[in-house]
Amino acid sequence: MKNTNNSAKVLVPLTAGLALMVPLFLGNNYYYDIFIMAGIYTIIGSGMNLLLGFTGQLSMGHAAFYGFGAYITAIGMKSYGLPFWLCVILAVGFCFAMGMLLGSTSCKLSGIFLVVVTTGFNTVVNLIMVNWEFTGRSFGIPGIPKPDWFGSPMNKLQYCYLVLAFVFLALFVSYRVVHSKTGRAFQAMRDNAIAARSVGVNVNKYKLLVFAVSAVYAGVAGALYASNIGYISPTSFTSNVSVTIITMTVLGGLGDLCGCIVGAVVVGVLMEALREFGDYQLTLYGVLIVVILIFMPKGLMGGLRSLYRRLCSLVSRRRTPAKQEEV
Amino acid sequence: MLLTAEKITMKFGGLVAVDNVDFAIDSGEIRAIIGPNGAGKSTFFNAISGQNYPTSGRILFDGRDITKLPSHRIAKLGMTRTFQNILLFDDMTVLENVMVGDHINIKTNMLTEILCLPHVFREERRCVEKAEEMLDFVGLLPYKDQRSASLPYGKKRLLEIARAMVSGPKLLLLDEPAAGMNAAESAELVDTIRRISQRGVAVLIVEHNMKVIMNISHRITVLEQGKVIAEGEPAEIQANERVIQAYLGKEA
Ligand SMILES: Nc1ncnc2c1ncn2[C@@H]1O[C@H](COP(=O)(O)OP(=O)(O)O)[C@@H](O)[C@H]1O
Ligand SMILES: [Mg+2]
Repeated sequence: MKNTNNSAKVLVPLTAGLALMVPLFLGNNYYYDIFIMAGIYTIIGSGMNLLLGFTGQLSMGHAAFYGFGAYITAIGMKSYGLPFWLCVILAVGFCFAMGMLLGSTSCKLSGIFLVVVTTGFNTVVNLIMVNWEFTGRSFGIPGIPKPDWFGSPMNKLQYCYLVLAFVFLALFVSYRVVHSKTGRAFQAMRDNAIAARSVGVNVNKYKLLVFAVSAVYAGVAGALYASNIGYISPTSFTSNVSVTIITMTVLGGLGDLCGCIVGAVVVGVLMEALREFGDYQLTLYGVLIVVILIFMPKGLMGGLRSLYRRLCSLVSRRRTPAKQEEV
Repeated sequence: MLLTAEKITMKFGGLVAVDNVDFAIDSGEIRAIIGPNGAGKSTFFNAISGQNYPTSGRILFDGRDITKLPSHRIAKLGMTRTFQNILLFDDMTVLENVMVGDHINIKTNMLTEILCLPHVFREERRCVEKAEEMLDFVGLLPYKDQRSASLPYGKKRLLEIARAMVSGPKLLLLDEPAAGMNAAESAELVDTIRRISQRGVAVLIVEHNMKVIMNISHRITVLEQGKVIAEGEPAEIQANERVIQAYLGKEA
């Protein structure tokens, strides 16, 4: 316990510092975009981790919330000339409400039934995007502006830092939630709902809450996505994307706050790296993920942690005999 | 009376698991419910603590009708319990398990927690202190940072008691707390239950271990096939012909 706490004191500022430095060395738009996407995946992954990792509920509908955030921002900025931050606030509010709505089904359903309902939700939302004039039908919405930064649109480097600020905020919120009453209630109802109720946890209330909050994460990620890429269409928000979000979270490590960073970076980079394999991209990606999970059932972060522990015990084993000699 | 159950009936399809039971327990009392397996003891517990709603009947707790209240509301009113088949939060530490037990007393919500308002940290510290005090009370303090799933069986039962006790309930229900405990452990359990009672908590206990039961309970209620067949002090119950026939005789 002590060991991990101490190492966190070093690792957290180190990782944060590294993340702050990286954009300065990226140099071109292609790398900026990979960095930005990894950040966006981290945000959406931390939300999914709260839901799946900490309360054990599966949502196959998170790409829909991601889409809400993106479309609200695209339409808000382009058609109504709203500032970016206002669009983010609108996305947060809308996703919170829709998250509660989808979450309410989880009070009655679980397991495979919840999967079916949330997949259905994503499909319906996607169909609306494809067919509604207002959302630009299947063509989508081009020409989404960048946020203003003192009178001129943000450049890619500034945008990297905007995304990073939201990443830090998302991780901070998750950290606070997990380390207080709410997070304990989440974990308690994941481990045993009957026992959680027996000590006064209103399980249904917390189910709604966690769905709503993780939907907000996805919505914010969507807002950042739309304004960065400048052009959105329904294909970016299908239930396949929901599967990617879940894969990323599981790959990083469920119930591990740092897991979603690793998951996001790995999936973000993998998708780019495997792009040249064309049609085989998805297959290779699937195989890699299965292999990783076979060897690291607790995800990449779980694997890293056990590697770290092994190193620590190796070091201390070397040290102990020396101490004994002194005595 | 702290708890009054009137004409409680619990049916599962055609099976009448609890049949028209009248029951009352006073504050400060230690009451035992005994009876052969399948007599309906756990079902009765589930009915009064809100896990299942009774098919018919009425339950009053601390002057309020709780018949149709869900279990988390009943816990808030001051009735908590343990389970025959040990239900812990397996992936949480021993300390965290007990901290969840104090859920109803922590005056924070997600917003104040995210905003780091000063009272959030005060509440958190107080919760840790209370949980540690309770772990010390049941003798589990040395295990506080372990995963609860890694505890041996007997200690898991004590952890369930600590989790149920930390919020300061008025009535504690224990469903077979000595099951799976060795002689030394169950002797210690008797002591723990006595100390719980000294804190002014009424205890309702289902147990098969007669040594434990005769030792601590003020009164005993005997259930058989869902019906109350006897009620009285331990000496009276031990002398009751019907009880001996139905239950004690087979054990002795
Ligand atoms: N959820 C349930 N569905 C159907 N039958 C049940 C259920 N729970 C208990 N029973 C039945 O009710 C009777 C009483 O069970 P129980 O209360 O567990 O007995 P005890 O705790 O006294 O051993 C048993 O016959 C049992 O099979
Ligand atoms: Mg039972």
